[in-house]
Amino acid sequence: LAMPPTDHNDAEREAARTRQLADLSEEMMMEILLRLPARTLASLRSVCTSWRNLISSPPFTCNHFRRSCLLDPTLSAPRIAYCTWAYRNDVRCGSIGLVSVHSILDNPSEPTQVDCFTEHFYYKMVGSCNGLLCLVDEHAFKYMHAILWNPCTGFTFESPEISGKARFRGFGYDYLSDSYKIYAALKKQGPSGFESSTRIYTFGPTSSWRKIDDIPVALLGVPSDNPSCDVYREGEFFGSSRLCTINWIVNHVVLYFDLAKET
Amino acid sequence: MGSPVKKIMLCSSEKEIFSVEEQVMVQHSVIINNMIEDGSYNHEESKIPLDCVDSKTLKKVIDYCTHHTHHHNDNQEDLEAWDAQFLNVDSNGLYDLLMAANYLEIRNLLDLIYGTIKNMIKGKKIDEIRRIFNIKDHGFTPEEEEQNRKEYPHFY
Repeated sequence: LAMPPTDHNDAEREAARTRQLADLSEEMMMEILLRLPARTLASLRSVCTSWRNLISSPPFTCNHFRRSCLLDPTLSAPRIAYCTWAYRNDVRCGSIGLVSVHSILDNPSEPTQVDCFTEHFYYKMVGSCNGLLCLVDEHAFKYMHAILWNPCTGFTFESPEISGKARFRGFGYDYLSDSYKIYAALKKQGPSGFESSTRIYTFGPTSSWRKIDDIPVALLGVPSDNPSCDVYREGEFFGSSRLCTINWIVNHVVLYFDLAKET
Repeated sequence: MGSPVKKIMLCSSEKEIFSVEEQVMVQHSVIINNMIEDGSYNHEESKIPLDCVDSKTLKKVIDYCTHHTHHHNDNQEDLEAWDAQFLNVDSNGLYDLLMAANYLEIRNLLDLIYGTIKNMIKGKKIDEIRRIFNIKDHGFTPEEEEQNRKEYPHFY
């Protein structure tokens, strides 16, 4: 379509305006993307880096999950996550599978759809919260890092590595600061034998493993100074509650850790 | 003995004055509702200046609010058809409406526009989406772009 020369200014203005949809604020973009299904979002991460960062951010994921559950209750239906082994390129890999309980009960004859997370390392599950799974990788038992995995989008977020082996873990969501936190009691070989410390990591781009000093490590069943004692009664993590705490049972005593106050 | 319908004055960025039923705007716009409630709008003297909304867009916004006030009892299908027709504008028009609805805090119009933009994204290939949103620099390194391509081949 040829533009009459007098429309030159209009054409210029039009050109300036076509940029507009790109200028939407982050909140507006979020409002739009929140309305899309998780699987579409997974591919939309490759549109540009700012979309990727937005879609991958924990607040977005949490918001999207809440919204999706309201619209489609089957999303919050129980699912089973399990650890398994898988072979990829003939290398034995750790793998986490996820199946919907309903799909097994309702259609036992049909093959169930399994979401899998396979990597070269062996992962252990720590817990799940808001549809996200928290895993830890204990690489060669000397270093570990935690991973937050969203089974719907396939997105993962990895924490920095920390030396030591986690003896005691918990994962939960802090409603007050809107963040996911993992707690770990670590044991590592130091110059003067094994050292224990307790750390908390908040999932986020700039976060690190913060040391918490005033936790009675012995209470958690972690042998603080006996290097030969590798088998002992480990506390059992039994989940996080709505009150921002993560809870364990150790020797028939319930211990809890307040995620918001980090005590 | 009905009293005359109360009107309020809205002023577009081109300084054009629009006279609208107060009830229509109060029902839809959180901002205008607040102005009327806290008494900061004086019916004799005030005009509400909307410096970031041009006349064309303001007229559409008023159309929307008026229709939804007077036809809120219509059946859902008719309302949806009206909305679809209403939002049959180009992407610049859509952007202007979005900005206006956001400024005036007209929640159902915001919802409608967000939903429309969502539908512009859904089922599209990556190049189309980048064109719609005018994304020239996606910010990925060639390696990342290659990796994305491998992961979501159907998207390219």
